[in-house]
Amino acid sequence: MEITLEHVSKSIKHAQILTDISLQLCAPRIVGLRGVNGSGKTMLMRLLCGLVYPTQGQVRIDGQLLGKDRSFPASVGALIERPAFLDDYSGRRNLQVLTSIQGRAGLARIDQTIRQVGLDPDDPKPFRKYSLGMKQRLGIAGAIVEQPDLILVDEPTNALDTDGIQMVKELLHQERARGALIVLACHDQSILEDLSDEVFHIVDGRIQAHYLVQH
Amino acid sequence: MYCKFLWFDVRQGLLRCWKKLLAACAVMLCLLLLHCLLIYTHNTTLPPSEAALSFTTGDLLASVLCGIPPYDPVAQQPFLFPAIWLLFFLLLLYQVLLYPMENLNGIGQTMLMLSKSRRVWWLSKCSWCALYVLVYFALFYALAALLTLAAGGEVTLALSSYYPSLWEVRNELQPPPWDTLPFFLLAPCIACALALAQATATLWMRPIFAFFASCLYWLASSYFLSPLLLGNYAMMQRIQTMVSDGLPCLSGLVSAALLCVCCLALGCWRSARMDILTFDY
Repeated sequence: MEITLEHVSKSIKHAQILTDISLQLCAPRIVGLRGVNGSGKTMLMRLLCGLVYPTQGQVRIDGQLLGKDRSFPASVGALIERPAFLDDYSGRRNLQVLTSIQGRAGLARIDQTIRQVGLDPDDPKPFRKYSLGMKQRLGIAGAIVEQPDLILVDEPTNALDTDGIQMVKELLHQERARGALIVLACHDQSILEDLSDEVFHIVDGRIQAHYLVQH
Repeated sequence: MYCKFLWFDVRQGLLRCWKKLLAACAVMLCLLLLHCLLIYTHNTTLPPSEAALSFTTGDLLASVLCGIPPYDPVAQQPFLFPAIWLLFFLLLLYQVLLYPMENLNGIGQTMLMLSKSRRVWWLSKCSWCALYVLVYFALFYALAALLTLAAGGEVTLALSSYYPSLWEVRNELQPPPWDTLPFFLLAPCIACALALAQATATLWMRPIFAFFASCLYWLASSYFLSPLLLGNYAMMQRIQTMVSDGLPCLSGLVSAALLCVCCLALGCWRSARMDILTFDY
């Protein structure tokens, strides 16, 4: 998996969100996006997964132009902004609904993923009754359940306790070891640098700095 | 992929929305009961020598779908606001308004990404919309039939011979018997086409604005007699099978089909280019 952004800019209703972003991301790696709220991290993630298209520039995934050669990356899992699931369904049923589209994960894999994020797959509680932390855990499970090549996680440690943050770290390292390219947005610099192999610092929609992290 | 998406939409936007349909049934029942009340009131004031009126399922359906006669502003006639007719259709349009965008704000966004096809997403939403319209009309027709049975009337789409005398007909009625079946088949087709047009509009504007545009369009349909305003075809009092200078059902069907095709194509074009963000209502 290789993602290339060439001079990508994005504006929405005359507001410039991203300006002249060029970068190259290769698997397996954890790439961190650092920046304050409103700096453009989430918009960059939406661009990477094909939900929005650039106003200028190009996004290529494995050489294919996003929005022209293909609408979305071939294998992607994402948790962007907030975990979105069906309110009346349990965690397991929600993941069943998601995995029914591509059919890449069976029930055993769903249950295993739910356990990995620290939830109980047999819990019949509907999603609407989940705590914020539980919703976040299920969101992470949804992003990794089908073992995609590209994983996009926006503020994955939101609402998580210390154990939860540790779980996220372990899971993302496992996914990298499997060969995935992980793009992680986080405003907390210590968590981000602890997890990432390289970090892009975004300020006002521009890449201000790019550095490798020594672990 | 399309079938998986459609099944998801049927479950989430139709089967799990039974409360919305139940509310629609309650409104439909009230509208149908208005006609029963009219006949009942008429019968109670009859002299003993005259036979009491009964009604058919066709009469009941027509009492909601009859609309108003063509309006001529020059002739200084009063404009009869088609409240019942508008309520019936606008309720349907409101019920199909929010689901596609609500879905795209939630789990639908992830599903769209996983499906890898914006076109499939749009085709599924259009199919869901058409299905919802069909279910809405099926419930309406079934309710009318049940009510006719309960009142001891005749379950037939034919109109009672007295029925058009209840209308304020300003043009020449066709001689009976009136063939009502084409109209009762056309009305859901027109509603379906205009519901798709509304759904297509939500790809450009907020759903609530698309609904306002729909309201204006339907109101304009009642004000102006024009084949370009498809709402005219959904008014029994403006159809050729009922009135001599009415609109032919066939042209209504062709127009509805053309509009559906245009909406499908426009929606495919737009959905392939639009940014999928968190939507405002």
